[in-house]
Amino acid sequence: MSIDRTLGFTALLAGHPAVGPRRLTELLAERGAEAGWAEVGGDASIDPRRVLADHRAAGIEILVLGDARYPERLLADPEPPAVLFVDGDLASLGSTRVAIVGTRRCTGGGAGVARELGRELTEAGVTIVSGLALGIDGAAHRGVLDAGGAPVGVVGCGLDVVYPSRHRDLWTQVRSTGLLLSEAPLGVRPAAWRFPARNRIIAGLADLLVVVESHAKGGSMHTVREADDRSIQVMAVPGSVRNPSAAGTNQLLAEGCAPVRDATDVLVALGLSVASRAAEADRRTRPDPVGQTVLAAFDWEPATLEHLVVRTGLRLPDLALALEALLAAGWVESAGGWYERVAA
Amino acid sequence: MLGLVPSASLLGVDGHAVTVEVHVSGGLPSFTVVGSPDAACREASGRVRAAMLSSGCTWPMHRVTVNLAPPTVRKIGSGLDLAIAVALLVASEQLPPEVVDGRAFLGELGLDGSLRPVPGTLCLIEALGDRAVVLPAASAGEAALVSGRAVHGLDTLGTVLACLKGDEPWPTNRREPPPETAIRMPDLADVRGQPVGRYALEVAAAGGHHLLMLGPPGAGKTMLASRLPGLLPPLSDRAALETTRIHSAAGLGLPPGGLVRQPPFRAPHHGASSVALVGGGSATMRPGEISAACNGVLFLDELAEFATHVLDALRQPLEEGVVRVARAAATVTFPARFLLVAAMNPCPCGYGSRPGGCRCSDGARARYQRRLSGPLLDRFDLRVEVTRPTVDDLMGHRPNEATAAVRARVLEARAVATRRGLGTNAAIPVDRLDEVAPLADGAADVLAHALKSGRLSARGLHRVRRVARTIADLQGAGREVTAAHVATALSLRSDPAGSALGVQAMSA
Repeated sequence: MSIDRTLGFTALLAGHPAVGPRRLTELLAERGAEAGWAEVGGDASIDPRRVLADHRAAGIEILVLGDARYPERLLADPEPPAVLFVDGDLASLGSTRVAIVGTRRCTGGGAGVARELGRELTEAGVTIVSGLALGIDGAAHRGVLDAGGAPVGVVGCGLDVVYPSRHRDLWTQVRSTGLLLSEAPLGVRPAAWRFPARNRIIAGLADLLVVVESHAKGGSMHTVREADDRSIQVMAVPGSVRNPSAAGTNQLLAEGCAPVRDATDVLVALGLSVASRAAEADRRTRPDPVGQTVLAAFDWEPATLEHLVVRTGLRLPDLALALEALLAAGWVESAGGWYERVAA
Repeated sequence: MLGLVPSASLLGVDGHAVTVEVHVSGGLPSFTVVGSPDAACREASGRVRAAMLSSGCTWPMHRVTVNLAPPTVRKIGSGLDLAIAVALLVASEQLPPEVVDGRAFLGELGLDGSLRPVPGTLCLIEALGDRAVVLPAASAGEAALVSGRAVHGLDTLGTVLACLKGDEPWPTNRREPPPETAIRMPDLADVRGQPVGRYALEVAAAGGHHLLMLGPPGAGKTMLASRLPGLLPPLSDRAALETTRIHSAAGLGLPPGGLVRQPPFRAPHHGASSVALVGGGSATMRPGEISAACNGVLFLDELAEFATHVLDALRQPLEEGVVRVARAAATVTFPARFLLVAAMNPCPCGYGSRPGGCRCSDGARARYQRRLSGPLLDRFDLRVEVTRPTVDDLMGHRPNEATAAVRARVLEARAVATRRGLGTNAAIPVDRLDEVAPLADGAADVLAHALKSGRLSARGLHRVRRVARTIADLQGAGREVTAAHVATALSLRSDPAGSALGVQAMSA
């Protein structure tokens, strides 16, 4: 049987809805790709060469376990992906990798930290791996792009299926400047089980995992368990104890995981030399006295207009004007009627 | 023998003159109603027969044909009973034909001969020309609202006959309308905390801006909304008559004075069908809730729980102030100028807008948000986040501003707007904005930044400027709209879609 046919059947098997990573590995080892495809009741009329041609036409490389270009780090993984679909430059993987993960439903502050970490770690020569999800993941990737780095995104669906669709632009940018990895062939829609499977690859690729914000239960906590299984160090960004989207990260800290206050903490943990980073001068215009009162009233928690009226005792027009100025200067962000202080 | 009696039938909120013709001839005893009666109208035979027998009349053992002319108008309900009975009595020679000259008859008959009121009396009377109207005593007060009309309110068929025969004098219904008793409206002083919600109500009342309140369950959205009618000025004579006609046609209870003077407040449940909301019904053509709220407030609680097509049916009336309901039988236009106030949770769990606070899955949130179409959302000039009042607010005794004080400012601002001659501020045409709401120094910068940051769309820009105009009017400011006015208007217009996409917007 030709290599092309085998590759085609492998891709078909990887996209079968009832074949998870473990079963795929078993089938390939015990049966081989073609017999495996027959075993799972796959459509015999599909031409495997055609499948392969589609991937090649889309510029997607198929790496099976044992391929010379297969990421070295995953070879030693307890559950290495039997096949990886790759779009972009494999060199983007670099030598030192930090995974930045977190909740999709994050605060603006959390997203800001993720973006900052992404940017500063990239500037220090570290590769950032994340999952291209909404919220923290997307912010981390954007930070990498801010620094002109090559982001690595691991996704849970086919590389032509942009999910979430709101991240279409980001998806395209990551592919063109960095690297996209998936266990699924083209056309595979995101299924719930593919996300935990994707998380194990993120953990497996990383030298260190940073959780920026996570609810008490969530996908990020799963990634943390996968990292623990692989003895990969996990660090977490502390959050307000009143912030539900920091409950998971704070729990990690309580369990003894090392805190991340800034990129330096991560670099130290990685054993990298910390170049003395000159504190970046804040370019924001200083708020006027009313603005400072309003900023102080935030207490570093998201607040509605109503909260701020009550806390500051200001008249609504004065408060609204001060908020507009703070928004314009970048001290505060707003979404859906809530305001959040984002800078000290 | 033939009996002819004028009456009227209701279609939508318009009365249509109907001539009841009754023909009594030889043949097997029968009773036939022709001329587009609906089921209730056709059943008049049973009621008329029993009422006549109860009132000491004779039922003619002949072939009786009732024709309701013109046959093109659909006759709905039981309001023609009295006219049919009188015409039958004339046709069967129990009454001389000349007694009905110059008179018209309205009312439903009970089996015991009692006269019962029918919905839409006000509209029906308008269709009866200058005839003296004989109708149920319970409707006489409402009928007296049509000025310069002789109205005789009677209780039974028996007394009607006695008056017609001249045995009893016609009662004169020139009774003075009872003094306008001030209806107790819920007062704003009862609302604890909620400074922003209260202010949004004030702006909505002053400028006629539609208001959307977002907030978790128990935040007091319904409590706030029910205080809005109290802030509005009393209805003008024209508006009062219009609203009274609609309420009369819809069969809603009228206030003691007969005239609806207070702006109505209608709060249909979110299970309402689109017919219940906009009006219609294949046969009855009843005005819906949005017409009942005409010149007042329509409050839609749990906005996202309404069926999508029901909500989208609101778009035309919101734009045009009328709703046209077309059915196979007829097309009817109902007035529907109302102030829309809606409340909803930001997402199914209710905590969605607080950054990082939501417990819903992405899919659930997206489905919830999809229920509101963008064009409908866009109609809300004011969109505020309402949070639960704190314990201090609830238990404290800090006096809150009462409705009367707020209302005084609202009336003042409305007077300023009226002097401009452009209706309420919410209706200022786009091409007049630069003239009536010119931007002061700095105000343009605030708007420019909001546009640049994506918080404000081009469509939203005009709406913010109108709201800013209202805020300036409320403060008694001059011709120009300042940066503070614009900033306040912006802060009263949060983006509910942003609460679902907020995370996205922030990380972008």
